[in-house]
Amino acid sequence: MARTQKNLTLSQLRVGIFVLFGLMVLAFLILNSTGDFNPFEKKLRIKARFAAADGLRAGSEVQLAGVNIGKVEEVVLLPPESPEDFKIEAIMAVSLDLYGRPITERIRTDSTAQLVSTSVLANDKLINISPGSQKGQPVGENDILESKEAISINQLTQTGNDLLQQINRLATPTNEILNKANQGEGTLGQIINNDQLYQSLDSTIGEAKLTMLKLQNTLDSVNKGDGSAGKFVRDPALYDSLKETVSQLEAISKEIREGKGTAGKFVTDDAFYNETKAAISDLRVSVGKIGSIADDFKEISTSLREGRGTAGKLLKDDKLYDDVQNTLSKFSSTAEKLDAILADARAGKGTIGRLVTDETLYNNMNQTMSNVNQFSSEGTKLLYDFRQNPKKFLTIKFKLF
Amino acid sequence: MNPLKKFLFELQEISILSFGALMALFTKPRYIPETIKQMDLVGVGSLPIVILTGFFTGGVLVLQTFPTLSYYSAQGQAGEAVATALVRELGPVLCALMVSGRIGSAISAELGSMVVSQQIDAMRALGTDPVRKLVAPRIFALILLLPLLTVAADVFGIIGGGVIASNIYNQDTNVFITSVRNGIETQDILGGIIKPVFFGLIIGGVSCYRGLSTRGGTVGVGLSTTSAVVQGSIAVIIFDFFLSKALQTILDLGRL
Repeated sequence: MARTQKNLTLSQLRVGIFVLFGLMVLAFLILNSTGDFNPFEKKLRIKARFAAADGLRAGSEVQLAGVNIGKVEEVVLLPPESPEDFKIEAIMAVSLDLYGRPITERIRTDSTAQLVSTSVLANDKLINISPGSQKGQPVGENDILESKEAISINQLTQTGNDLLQQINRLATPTNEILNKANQGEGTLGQIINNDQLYQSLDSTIGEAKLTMLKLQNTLDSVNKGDGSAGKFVRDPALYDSLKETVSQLEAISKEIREGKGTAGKFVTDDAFYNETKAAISDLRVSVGKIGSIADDFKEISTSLREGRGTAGKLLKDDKLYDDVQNTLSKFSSTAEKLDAILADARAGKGTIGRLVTDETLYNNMNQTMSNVNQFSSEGTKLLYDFRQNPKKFLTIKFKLF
Repeated sequence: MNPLKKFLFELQEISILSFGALMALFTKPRYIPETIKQMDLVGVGSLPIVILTGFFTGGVLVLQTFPTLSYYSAQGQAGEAVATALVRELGPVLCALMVSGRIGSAISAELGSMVVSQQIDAMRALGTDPVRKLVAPRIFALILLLPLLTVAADVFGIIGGGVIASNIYNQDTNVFITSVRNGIETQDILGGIIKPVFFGLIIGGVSCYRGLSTRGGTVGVGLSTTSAVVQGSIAVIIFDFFLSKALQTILDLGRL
């Protein structure tokens, strides 16, 4: 090697210094580029007080509306005489600038710091600062932000537990009701399970619709003046005739009142009344006679009931019935026998049977009749011949030898 | 000489040497047969140890992470965990350490004994630049082949993890493969291949410098071999950190 290690001056180490410096800058830039390592940035220190740290440590994240803006620098216990809600103090270091604008535009004196869990499972906490409004003043160094305790997972579980118990308590009767309803018990069950209500409602509605339709049609036709109702509504004739009738009636009643005509007489003259009265008394006498006839009928019916006389015997004595029945049974046995005979006859048994079924007799008879016919014609011819030529037959020749 | 000066001096010498070697690649004369010989030595020669290291590293990763993962019922992600760890970090670093141990020591011992036996001076007297003839092929071979060795380490590491997962923890091979596929992305592989390029440069620069700066006979050769391996490994691990951080930013890695 050209250079020795002895008596090196700094000028001879220029390359080494340059390389080292270059590497250091490179390393710094690598770390700084992700924003994780930034020793030169100025920070704003703000404070918040809580009842307990609950997993908040130095290095925990500080967020502004969920965006990471810094870290918790220190968590310190406050003196023992401090109030119950403020036992610890978290000192936060947040970036002074955010997207080129001072952070104090966003964190105001009316911002609140909230202790939030990083996840459901983890016990780690972070501080979330809510953005302030225009009403608040910009926060200064070491200002104490108002703090708000977020619901911890433990509190949430407790609340959920209570809620669950209440739901459970409610669930048992609900379940029973629903079970009953499911089985079709009670009104609710019937409503749910039985579709009769629905069917009848449906049909009712259908009928109602139909009725409405008909009613509308009727009203339409009435409006048009069709039919009696239409005429009634539209046609003034009825009104006119009614009016006329009424005026006539008025006239009639006037005449009646004055004693004119039959009706007038009826109303004013008492002759009719007297005649009527006499007629009624006659009627009463007739009614009395009818009563006696009725009595006679009664007597007859009692004697009938007691079995007196022919009609009574007919009603009460069952001998006649028995006789009739006897006769009928005999008749029926006779009929049966006759039936049997007829059946035999149809089958061709016995004389009648043969007579009915066998054609031989008929044929023989026929033959005989035809023979007889022939015979009689021959006889006729003979008689004719005899009458024409009686000598032919009446010549008696005696031949003796 | 105080340690700061010594450190600055060594840094300077290593930088100049590496720079000279890299520049030598762009101008003639190039020593291609020497480069191929070095590539054979660095690549093929190191392949068995890299494969073994990768295989058992993957295996031990599954062996250790599986119980923890099953405690959270996340056994299905064993492949993901192993693949991510191997491809992003362990593959490049372990490979670089193994090569640093095997090739770094070989280079510094070879160059050191050449210095001690004044072969370098003879070479220089004959008009051959030892940086071109000796340093450039070695650094080039390391830069070119360390990423390839890393890929071999990654692949065999994942295979080793799969073998352990299916044979010891009775995990279905398909589950493991699916998990590995889920776990690795292109950026992971890219990052895992960029790192060894730098590691190759560091190992080559440090061990060549150590070899060429050997003094004091055979004892000096031993000393420079030791310091080549030690300093090379330390430099690899330190640079790995900053490289990882830079690659996380550039390739948008490290977010699951």
